[in-house]
Amino acid sequence: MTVLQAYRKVYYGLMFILLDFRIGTLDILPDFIGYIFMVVGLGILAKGNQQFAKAKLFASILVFTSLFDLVQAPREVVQAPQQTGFFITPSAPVIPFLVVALIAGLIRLAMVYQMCEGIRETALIAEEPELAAGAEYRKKIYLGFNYLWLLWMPSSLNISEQWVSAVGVFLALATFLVEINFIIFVHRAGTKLGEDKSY
Amino acid sequence: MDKKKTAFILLTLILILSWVVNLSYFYVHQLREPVFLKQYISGRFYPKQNLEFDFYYITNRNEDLDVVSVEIPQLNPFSPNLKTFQYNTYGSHVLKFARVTIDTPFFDLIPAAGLRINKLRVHYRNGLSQEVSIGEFAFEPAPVSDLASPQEQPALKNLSSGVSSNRTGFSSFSAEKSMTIQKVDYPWKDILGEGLRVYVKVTQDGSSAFERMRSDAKEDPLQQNLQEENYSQDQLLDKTYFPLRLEKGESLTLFYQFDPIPANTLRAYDYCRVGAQIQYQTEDGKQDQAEFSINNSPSFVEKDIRRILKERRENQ
Repeated sequence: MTVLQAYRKVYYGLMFILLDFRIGTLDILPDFIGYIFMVVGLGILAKGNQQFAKAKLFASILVFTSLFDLVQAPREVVQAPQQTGFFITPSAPVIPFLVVALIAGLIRLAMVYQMCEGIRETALIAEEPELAAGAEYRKKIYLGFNYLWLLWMPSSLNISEQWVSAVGVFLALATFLVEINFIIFVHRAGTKLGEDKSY
Repeated sequence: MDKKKTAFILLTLILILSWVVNLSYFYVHQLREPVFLKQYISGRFYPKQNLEFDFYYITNRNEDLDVVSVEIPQLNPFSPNLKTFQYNTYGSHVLKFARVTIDTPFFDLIPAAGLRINKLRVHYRNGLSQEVSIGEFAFEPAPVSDLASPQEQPALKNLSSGVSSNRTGFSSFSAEKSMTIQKVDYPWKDILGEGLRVYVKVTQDGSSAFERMRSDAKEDPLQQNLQEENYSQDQLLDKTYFPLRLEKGESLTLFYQFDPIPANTLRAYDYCRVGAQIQYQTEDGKQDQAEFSINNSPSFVEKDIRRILKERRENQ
């Protein structure tokens, strides 16, 4: 398998994780499949740089933690009597969900950190300083916004719904854009570093 | 220690601190058991009419503690249908409501003397159950006279009714015959009256009725006070000025208003759907009553929920 193919596997894996389509409560693009793609891709890249081996280890753990998100508790939307607006049936307990999200979030940060380090080192060896600088920049941006997200998560337990919605939407949008930017960067790194190379 | 390592340790500590502080605060404010909000519901039931009502309760957000079934002790072993819904989250708490429906015609289940319910036995998803106080429900079967001659036109005819989201409502009536309004009353006046104001207004030719009431009352010290204080035509129900004469064709409107939230009294947080009665006597001596509904479905902000929980804790 070529290096380009390995990068593409990582790229498709990240895309798979980002997209979340559900039929009812079932995720039809489950994240664990995306992480399996990443494990395969990172396993090949690890032959050229040990940072990818560490990233592969974290991706392997995420294969299992992502299973928690496969099926969501069913919710039913109803209209309350004498009230305006719609309400939903009770959701699953919050704390276990948050703890799993924290653990998965930290492992994911570690994975992305190692991936960025791997791309940066590989780019420097391949004399692609611009790509190396890009990796460093993405690492900072990705870690920064996702760190804010992890910092914010427990606060959402104790503050009013309006604040949860307002700050949550802002952070969700920001991390989504950062995620897209990172995925595009991985694609670019594959194109620049992977052509005509194989391990 | 290099700069990167210091930053990493510092950020990790901030993250840990944020989680520890937030989870501690969350757990300190956990309820030992769900808190049920007070409700006051009254109603008159006719044959084939079913009963449906909701009750509201506050639980911890972290617990999937839903009420899955309910027993009404007075109706045992009859088991009503029940469905639970989440209403809104307020910090570490969540307000839920459960909808109780009784498909069997409720009229058949009410004793002739009426049915008063102030406790429900609720069963939670975790298998536990408890008897909870939910305010009071008062149901009565429609009087036999209503059932015998349902087609007869009432002397005080309901023209329109309305309820607004700002916790106000009204009901208008027209006098089909000349009559004397003897009394306007609603149940649980001592409880609901803390946060509820009911106004009476006579419209159309109502000014004459109002003036008549004032001139008739010259000998009555209470009514003299009324004159001296120069009240407007909109009268608070508790400034009793009944009996009030109403000529044929005149209209009577009753308005009600609950205290705004945040309110001075916690009673403003009570849900209610009560039937108020206007008792009257026509010129031919026939006594009857007309009904109007008083509804309150408060909506809360987090501060209100904290206030309700604080009051309940203090009263425990």
